[in-house]
Amino acid sequence: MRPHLRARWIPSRRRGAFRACYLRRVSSRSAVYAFSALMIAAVVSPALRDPPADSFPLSDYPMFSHGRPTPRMELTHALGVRADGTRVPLPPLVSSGNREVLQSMMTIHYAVFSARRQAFCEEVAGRVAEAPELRDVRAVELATSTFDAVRYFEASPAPIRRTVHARCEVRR
Amino acid sequence: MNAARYLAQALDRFWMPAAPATRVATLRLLVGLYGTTYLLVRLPHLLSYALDDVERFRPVGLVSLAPAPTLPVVYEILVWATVAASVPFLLGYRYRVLAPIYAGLLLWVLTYSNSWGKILHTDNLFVLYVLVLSVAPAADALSWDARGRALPADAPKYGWAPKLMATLCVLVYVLAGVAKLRNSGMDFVAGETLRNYVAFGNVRKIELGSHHSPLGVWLLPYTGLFGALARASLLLELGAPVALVHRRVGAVWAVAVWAFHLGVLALMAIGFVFQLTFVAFAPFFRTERLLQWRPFARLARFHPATTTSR
Repeated sequence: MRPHLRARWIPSRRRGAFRACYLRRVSSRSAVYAFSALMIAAVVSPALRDPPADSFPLSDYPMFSHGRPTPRMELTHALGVRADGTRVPLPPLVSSGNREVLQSMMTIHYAVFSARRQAFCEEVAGRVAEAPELRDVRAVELATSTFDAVRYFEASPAPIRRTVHARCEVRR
Repeated sequence: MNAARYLAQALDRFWMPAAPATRVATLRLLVGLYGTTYLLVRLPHLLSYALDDVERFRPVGLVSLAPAPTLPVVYEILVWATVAASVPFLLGYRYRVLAPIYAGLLLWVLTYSNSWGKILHTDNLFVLYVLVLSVAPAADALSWDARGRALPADAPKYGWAPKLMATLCVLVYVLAGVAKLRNSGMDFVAGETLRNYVAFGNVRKIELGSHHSPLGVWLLPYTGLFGALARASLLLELGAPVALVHRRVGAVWAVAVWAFHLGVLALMAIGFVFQLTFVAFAPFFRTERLLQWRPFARLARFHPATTTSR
């Protein structure tokens, strides 16, 4: 046995003290193993479920794992419409009031596919009106666009298809 | 009987090796410093979830126990309390009581911020590390609680927490690798999937009004490169358990995974901040050696007659 363990296991010749120390040692050692086993089991558990469960802070870590055989993608987003008809994607803080780009994406998605899409569009337009860097934006569109992600960079960023779910004017 | 005892001792040597109190204490300092800084920087983001929008509320984890969103004012108080509790955790002040409170608050607040439709995977390991450290004797050295006391002798009770943290880190990457094999099979290593993900990720960032990676876009025509990157990332993830076999292997693996995250940042503009700061990989190293470096040497003055050469 290693010296550090021996020193703990047999601290004294006195029987009572030995028992007390032994029990303390066993309980702390058992607690370490129990806690470790619990943490490991908890971390592994989402992957053992059928279907695997993505949650927080326990996850099966599915990001970037699903097959993506084609570069075609669909995205629901908020666009600013300029006076000349060109469109500019609205930043997350304006489109959803959130700094996190993926949370913003989900906020837009849920709003578009709910009964309050027009009200949400008006909310976004209100934030556009207050953003000085977007003063050339005249209207807001909530749209689902289909892109070829590779062609987007190699040829043109124009969407293959775009469905506008809601449109509202920016009132300044 | 002897075999059982031998196995138990071998397990003890592996899982609870005698380690200096400064190892787990430096881990507390690193994770604590990361936590306080991260919470302060992300404060506006965290406070933006003080919402009562029932339609958007998609509770996950611990928050699913709540039937509805927390009252915005209560949530704001919890966020501020988490920021405040991160300081005693960092300093090691009344650690036995305050550290578990910090861990609980952090778990709740970060789970709550992930309960609005999109689960981000950037904070998982950070929360798990805080949970482990909060019950470990991480304030027996280099802490307010231990100031003026002699440095404790090396002991097994200081060895298990770094081992558990490293194991959790390894498991997270193994799970990510398993998910890729389960959801894409070997198609993932062909490279086309990763290339499409890089293109998809960058288009998504642009079309959601955020920053994208010009490097990732520039590399898109080189399909073969993405095949090599996909194979390397899968190897790092599924081969992660070797990092627990030997300290040096663990150190090499940690640096390789850090480089992998640097690659993700460069190609997709996605930053796993905890990993990029390298704090996530600190348990694979003898972090007490940081005290030998001049910027950290002052910390050793917490204890009279401290030796840092272990």
